[in-house]
Amino acid sequence: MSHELRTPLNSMLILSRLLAANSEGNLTDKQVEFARTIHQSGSDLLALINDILDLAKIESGNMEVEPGPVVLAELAEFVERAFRPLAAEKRLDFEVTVREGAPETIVTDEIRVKQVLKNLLSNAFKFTHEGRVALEIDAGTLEDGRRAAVFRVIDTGIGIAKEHQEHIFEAFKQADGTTSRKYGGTGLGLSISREIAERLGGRIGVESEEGKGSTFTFVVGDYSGPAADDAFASALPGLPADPVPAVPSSAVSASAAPSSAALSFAALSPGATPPDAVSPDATPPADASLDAPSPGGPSPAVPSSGAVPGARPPGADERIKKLLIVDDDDRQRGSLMELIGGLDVVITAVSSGAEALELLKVDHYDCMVLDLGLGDTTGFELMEELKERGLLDRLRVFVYTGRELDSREEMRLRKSAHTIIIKDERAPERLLEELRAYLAEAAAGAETGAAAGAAAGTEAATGSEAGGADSGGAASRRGERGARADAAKEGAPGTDGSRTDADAPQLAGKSVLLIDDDVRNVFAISNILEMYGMQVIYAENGMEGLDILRSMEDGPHLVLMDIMMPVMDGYETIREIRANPRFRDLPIIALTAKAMKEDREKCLEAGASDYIAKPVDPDQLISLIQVWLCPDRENRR
Amino acid sequence: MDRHYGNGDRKPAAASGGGPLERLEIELLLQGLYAWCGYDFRNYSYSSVRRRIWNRVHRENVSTITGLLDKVLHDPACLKRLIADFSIHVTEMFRDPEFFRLFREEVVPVLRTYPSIRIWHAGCSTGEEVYSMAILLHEEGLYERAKIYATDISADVLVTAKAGMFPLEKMRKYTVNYQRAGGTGEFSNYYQVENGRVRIKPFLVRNIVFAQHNLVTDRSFNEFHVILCRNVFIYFNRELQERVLRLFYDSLVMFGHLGLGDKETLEYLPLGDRFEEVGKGRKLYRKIR
Repeated sequence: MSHELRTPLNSMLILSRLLAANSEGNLTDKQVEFARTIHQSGSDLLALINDILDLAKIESGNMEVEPGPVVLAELAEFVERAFRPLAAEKRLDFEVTVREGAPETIVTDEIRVKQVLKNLLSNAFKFTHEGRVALEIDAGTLEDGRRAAVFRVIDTGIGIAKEHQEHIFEAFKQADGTTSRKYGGTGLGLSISREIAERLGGRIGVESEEGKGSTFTFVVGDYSGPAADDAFASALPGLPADPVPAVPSSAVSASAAPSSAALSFAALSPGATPPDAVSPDATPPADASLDAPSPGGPSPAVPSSGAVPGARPPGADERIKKLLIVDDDDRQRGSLMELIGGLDVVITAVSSGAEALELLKVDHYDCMVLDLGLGDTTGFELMEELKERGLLDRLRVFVYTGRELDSREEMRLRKSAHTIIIKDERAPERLLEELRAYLAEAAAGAETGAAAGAAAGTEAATGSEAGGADSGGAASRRGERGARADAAKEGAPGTDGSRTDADAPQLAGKSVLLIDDDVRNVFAISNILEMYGMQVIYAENGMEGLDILRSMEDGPHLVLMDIMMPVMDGYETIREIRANPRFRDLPIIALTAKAMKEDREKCLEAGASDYIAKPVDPDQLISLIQVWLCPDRENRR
Repeated sequence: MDRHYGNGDRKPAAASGGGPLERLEIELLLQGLYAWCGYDFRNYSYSSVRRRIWNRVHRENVSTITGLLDKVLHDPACLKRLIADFSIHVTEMFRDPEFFRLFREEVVPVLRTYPSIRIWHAGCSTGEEVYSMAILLHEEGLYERAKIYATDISADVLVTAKAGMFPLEKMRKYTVNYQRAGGTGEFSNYYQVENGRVRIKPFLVRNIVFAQHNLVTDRSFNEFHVILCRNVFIYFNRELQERVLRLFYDSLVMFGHLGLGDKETLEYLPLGDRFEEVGKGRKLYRKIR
C-alpha cells in the first residue's frame, strides 16, 4: 500500500525540484527557497514513511527472515565501500576490522544484517564531528551459549547520557527534541535495528559516555527459526505462550505492558499518534543533557535502507490501519492473525477484555475483531464499557463469534458493532472481505477527505436510504451502518453549531417510543433525538411496541411508527393502540417508505396523528415532533 | 413474476395504430392514472403498456384510449381492472430450479454467518416463490432467523399470497421443480390439501411479512442481505431500471445478493459495476462495492 502514498509524494518531489531549478527564471529567491523547502520536507517525509512501514512490518510479524550463509569478510568489504566516501567527506578516520577468531560465516538474513549495520554506522557518522568511526567484527556467544558474530560500531561522537541510553531504541524517542531537527533522520533507525536483531535471534546494546563517544554492539548468531518469539513470550508473566509463529512481538509487549506498547505503536501511525510521542517539541524541557543527543535515524545522506527515496522496491502505502484482536482462545487468535496477516494492517492480539480496555485507553486503534466470550468479561460488556468511555467513536468493531444471537442481543451489539459474523464455514472469508471493504472505504475516505465527510453528513441527514435515483451520495454508496450512524451525528442539527437542543428545549426529557425494524433508521433517528435530550425507547415490531406501551406507567410522549414490519404491521399496531382509551390522544407519527396518497390516508385512517416519509429528514422530524408535543396538546392529555 | 396479457394481444385498430396521436393518448392516460391515484406506469416498457391498454380498450367497449381514460377516471371498478391489467401475475414454485439450486449452494453458506437474515422479495406476486424460499431456508436450518419481506404493487395479489393457497393441479410441476432445485426433504411435508386446494403449512408463513410496495414510487424500507426481484425489470424501461437498481443497491448490505429473472441483466446499467455475477448466467449478483 505504500504505492498510493509514494506516488503523490514523488510527484511532489519532482515538481518541487523542477520549481526550485527556476529554469524560466521567473521566481524570486524567496520562492525558490520555498520550493527547496517543499522538496526537502517531502524527502524527509518519504524517509519517515519508509521507516514507519518497515518498522510496522517487522512489529506486526510480517518480516520474513530469509536465512543463508553470510560471509563476514564480505560484510566488512560492503561496509567499507558504502561508508568510505562519507568518512572522507566528514574527514573522519574510518576503520573496519575483522578480529582473529571471528567466525567466517554465520547463517542468517544478510539483507537484514546489512540494514542494521547501515543504521548503526549512519548514526555513528551523523553524531561524530571529529575523531573516528570503526566497525569491529568479533567472535561472541548468544545467551544460550551458541557461537555468534559480534559487530561493534565505535565512534568518538557526542555520546548519550546514561538516562537516555534505553530510550533511544524506542520509536520516536530520542534523547531530546532537538536531535532530529539538528541531525536529520527519522529517529526510527535504532528501533528498526533492535526489532530486526530480535527477529534474527540476536540483540543490540549500547555503551556510551557523554562527550566521549558511543559503542553499539550487535550480536547475531545462526538463525534458528522464529522460536525465539515463543521464548520471549513465555518469559513474560501472565501471558500464555502462543504456539502460532505469526504472533508479532507487538502483541506480546502490548499485552504485557500496555503503556510501553503505546510507545512502540506510536511509530506505526503518524496520523493517529499523540503528539507527545512523536513530536520532538513535546519532550520535557531542556536540561544539561540537551546538548548530548543520542543517535537519531539514518541520514538521507548515506546509503541506508529505507532512508533514501527509491531505495526500496515500490510497495504500497498510506497510513497503516491498526487492528486489535480480542479473543481468549490461543488457537483462534493465532488463526485469526494468520488470516488477517495478509492485509495491510498492524495487528495486535490480546486475550482478555481487561487488556483490550487498557490498550484502547492509551492508544488509538482503527478496528477491532472481537470474540464475544472472553475469560474475564463478555464482548457485550466490553463494548458497553468502551462506549461509556467514548472509546468506540472511531473504532470499527467486527464481532466474530461462535454464538447464536437472538434479536435483542444483535440489536444491542449493532449499536456499536459495524459487522457481526457468526463463525461458520464461510466466516473467515467473510471477515476478510469485510475488513478489506473497510480498509478500501477508509482509504477512499482519506482521499476525499473533508469533502466526503460533509457529503456523508448531508446524505445521512436524509437517512441515507434510497432517496430515489437523484440521491445516492458518497455515504450511501459506502453503504455502511457505521458510516451512516457517524454521519447522522455529524449531519444532524446540533453538531454544526447551527442548531442545538437549546433551539428546542421543550424536547429535552421527553420520551419517544420508536417502533421500527429497520436498524438504519433506528440508529439515525435515535441519534437525532438523543441530541435533543430526548429519551428513545425502541421496539422491533408492533407486538413488542404494544407490550412496552402497556408496561409503561407514564407512557411515552410520542410514538414513531414504522409501517412495514414483521409480526404486527404499523396499521394494525396503531389501531390496537387507539383501541385503548388511555392512548386516545397519544401523538403517533407514521414513518412510511411509501409515496402514494392512499398509503398516507391509510395511516390516518388507522389512527396516526401524522406521517413523515422515510428516509426521514432530521429537521422536518424535529419540527414535526415539536408540533405534536406542543404544550397545548399536552395539557389535554 | 411474469405479467401476461390475457388474450389481449390483438392489434390496435388500424385507424389509431402507432401514430403520434396514439402516443399522446397513451401518455395522457398514464399521466392521468398517476395524477389520479398515484400508480405510475409512465416508465414501463412502452410496447407492453400499449398492448395492455388496447386490450383494456376492447374489453371495456370503448373505442379510443381517451375514452378509456374517461372511464377510468369516473368508474373505480374500471380503474381497478386497468391496474390489474398492468399486474397480471404468473409465477410458480421453485421457478427456474437452477436458480434456487445455485442460491442454496452459494448464498446459503454466506447467510449462515449472519445472526439474522432479511430477505426482500420485490414483486412477489401471489407468493409461490416466497414460499419456495421459505422452504429452502427451512431445510437449511435458517428459517428461524430469517424474515422475508414480500412486497408487490398490487394489494389483490398480496391477499392471495398471504392466504398461501394454491391450485392442486399445479403441485406436480412444483414437485418436479422442488426436486430439481436441490430440495432435501419431501415436498409433501410443506402443504396439505383442503377442499381441492393446497394450503402451505402455517409454520412456513410465520416469518413472512407481506406488504404493498411500489418499486416505482416508494423508497427503501430496510437493509437486506438478499433481494429477489425476478421478472420485473423486463417490464421497465431503462430509466426505471436504473432507478430501481439504485433502490436495491441502497437497500442491500455490502456483499448482499440480488437475484433477477433469467432474461434480465445488470449489464449496461450505471450501478451494474457495483455487482459481480455469482454463477455464470444465473442472474444471481453480489454487491461488491
